[in-house]
Amino acid sequence: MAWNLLAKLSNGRWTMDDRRLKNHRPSSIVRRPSIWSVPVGLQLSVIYAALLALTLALLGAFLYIWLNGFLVNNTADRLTRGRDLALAQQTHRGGPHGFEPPGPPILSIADYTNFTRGLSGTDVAVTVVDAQGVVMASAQSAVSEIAPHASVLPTGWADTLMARKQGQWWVVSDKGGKRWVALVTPIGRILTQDDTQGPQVFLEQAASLDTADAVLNNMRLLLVLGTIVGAILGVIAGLALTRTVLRPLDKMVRTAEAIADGDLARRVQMPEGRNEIARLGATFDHMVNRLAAALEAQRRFVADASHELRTPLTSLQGLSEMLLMGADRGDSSTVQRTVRGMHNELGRMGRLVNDMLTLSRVDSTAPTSFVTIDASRLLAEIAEQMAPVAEARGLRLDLRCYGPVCVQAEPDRLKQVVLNLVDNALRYSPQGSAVQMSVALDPTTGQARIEVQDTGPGIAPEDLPHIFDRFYRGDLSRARATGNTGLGLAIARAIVETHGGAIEAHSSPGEGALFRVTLPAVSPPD
Amino acid sequence: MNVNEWQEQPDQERPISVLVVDDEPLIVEMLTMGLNYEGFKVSVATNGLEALDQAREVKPDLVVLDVMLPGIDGIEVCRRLRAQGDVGVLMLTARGELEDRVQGLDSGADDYLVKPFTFKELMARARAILRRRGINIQKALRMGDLILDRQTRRVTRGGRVIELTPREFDMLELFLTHPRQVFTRDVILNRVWGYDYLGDTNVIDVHIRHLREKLGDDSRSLIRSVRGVGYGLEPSSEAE
Repeated sequence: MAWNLLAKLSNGRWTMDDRRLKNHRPSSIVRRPSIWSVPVGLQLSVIYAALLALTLALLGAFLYIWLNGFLVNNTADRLTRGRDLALAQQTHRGGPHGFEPPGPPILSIADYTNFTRGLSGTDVAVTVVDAQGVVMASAQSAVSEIAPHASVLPTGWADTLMARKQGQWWVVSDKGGKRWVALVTPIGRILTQDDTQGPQVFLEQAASLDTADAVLNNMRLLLVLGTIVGAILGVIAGLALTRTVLRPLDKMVRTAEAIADGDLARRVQMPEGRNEIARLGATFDHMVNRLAAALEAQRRFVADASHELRTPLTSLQGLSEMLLMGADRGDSSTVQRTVRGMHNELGRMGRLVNDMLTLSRVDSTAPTSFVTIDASRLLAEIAEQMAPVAEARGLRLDLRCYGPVCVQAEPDRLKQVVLNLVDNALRYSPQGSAVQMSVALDPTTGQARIEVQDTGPGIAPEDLPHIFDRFYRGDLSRARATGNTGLGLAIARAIVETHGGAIEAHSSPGEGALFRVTLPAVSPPD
Repeated sequence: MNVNEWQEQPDQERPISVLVVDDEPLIVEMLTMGLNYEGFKVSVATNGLEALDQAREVKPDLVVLDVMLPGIDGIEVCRRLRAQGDVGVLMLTARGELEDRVQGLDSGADDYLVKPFTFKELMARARAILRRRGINIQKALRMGDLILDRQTRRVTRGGRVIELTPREFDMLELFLTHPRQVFTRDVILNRVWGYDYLGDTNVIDVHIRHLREKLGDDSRSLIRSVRGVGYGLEPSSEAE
């Protein structure tokens, strides 16, 4: 896994065939059941399906409740319209049998019976009851046999209706559990045989909800089945879909495992794209590329360093052995030459060890004590310090500066950079020539520019891109002759980069070389 | 032991030829000095192409070949040397990682040495390669009627077997391989007792006395004393 790989790398215990890695893989840890053990595809599918089922169920419930309300209301409306129409007709008719406004009608039971007949239908039972629910008049029909009695109405219905002085409907259940809509309206009083007002009576219209319930039942069945089927289909489709989407992730996991086992040549190689998985794949590959490059650079550096150290060691060991075994045959000039060779090798090795230590210090410790310094003054110091060296080699060292140029730097390290460049220039300059140092402020970029220019043989174009690489020496024999360790420019670059600057070289063969360090300039301290 | 056996030696007039290929001048100088001293004929190349040219020209018995060479590297040189003809190859590598070793041997090298190495070890391996290839470094050393067999470590003089201690044998071998050369006591100590021997050089005088007694060299005409310098072998008047 990638994090495992990273952990290994940061521990610095990475080796290409580290078998211990295998035992540290999460997959071999005793597995406790957890959400992380369920494949992501299944997790997502189940979540999708559950959401789908929930949505369907909510929608169904909403639809069901709405339809139920619609059907019940519709039935109640039908009853209300029928009642109002009948009452209006009765009032319009007038006469002894009509309702006489204002005031409630007072009719005989026979008249009420007639009235109920006019209102009843195939699915509507109509009765006239008194406040106790006792039937006073009824339209005898098939439906009135099964219609619920007024006793199923909520208690106190008569008082409620009398208080409101208008009709109200309820959904009630009969003995068989079937639902009805019962519309009850206070309509008047009974005219008794002695022409006195009888008790208050109510018109009760009861319409069966059988048809509506049948529709609702069908619908409920359909909704439940639909939800279940939807959920199952959701899981199946979700699995297929997520599997397709997650297949690259699976590939990535297997690649990462292979890489963790040491195969750093493996890549995910996702097709180009802009979605998260394509980007993850590309980023992953990029990360492995960089890790591999870093490891390779590290490996090469160690190999180069060991080569660079072993070569002088071999010479030293061999040459000293020659003296010990008397291979000089007592010839003093041979002895002198051998010892001189050993001495030079020791010097070269000392410089090499020094440079390697410097480089590793620059690599491993970030500069901490940045101060604002005047680069002009620093270069003047170096010019003074190196002048005798230049003179000894028959060279001139010139310094050009145009006023103070301040930069943020660690003075010793920046000095090391310039010293390395000057040393390099002095090495390659022909006798009698001059090495030019200059420092200037580039007004357009606000950068300080430190330049060291020589008139030496220049740098071959094929070497130019590599001269800052560690241990890179274009012309080995010449480099050896000049005592170059191949690290001076690498050290310079490493230091300049920790200072947030850049170093570059310009040269063409025969024209000398120009090394330029650019650093962000700052305003001088007060 | 039949004396005639020694006459079947390969042509002792032609010294064994070694080609040294390395781009480090000091290592080349050191190897040239040492191999010359050990009695080899040494030629030198400092890069791959030069090595191949030299190999064609001098037909060396052994090539001491550095892996890291400018131009074509040692591995490739070795491969081409093998294609050119049969020659012993001893590779020198500054790396020594397993991968490089296998690659070096795959390319046809007989053996390899990881830098830094001691010259002693290089000689031991060079001799082993030459022996495996049937090229003997003078199995028997002789001077007059004195014969030293390196393989059986037996010394005879005029057919008479002389029993020598290992130190005495090594000393006599040193003298016989470098006739006429005068060795200082220090050099003898280094060569026979080893570099890490910290004893007195007087031990040499004692061993020389014993050696002379055993060889019947009473007149000191065989092992010569050079006053103020050391000892050396004087090819006798009865020379080859």
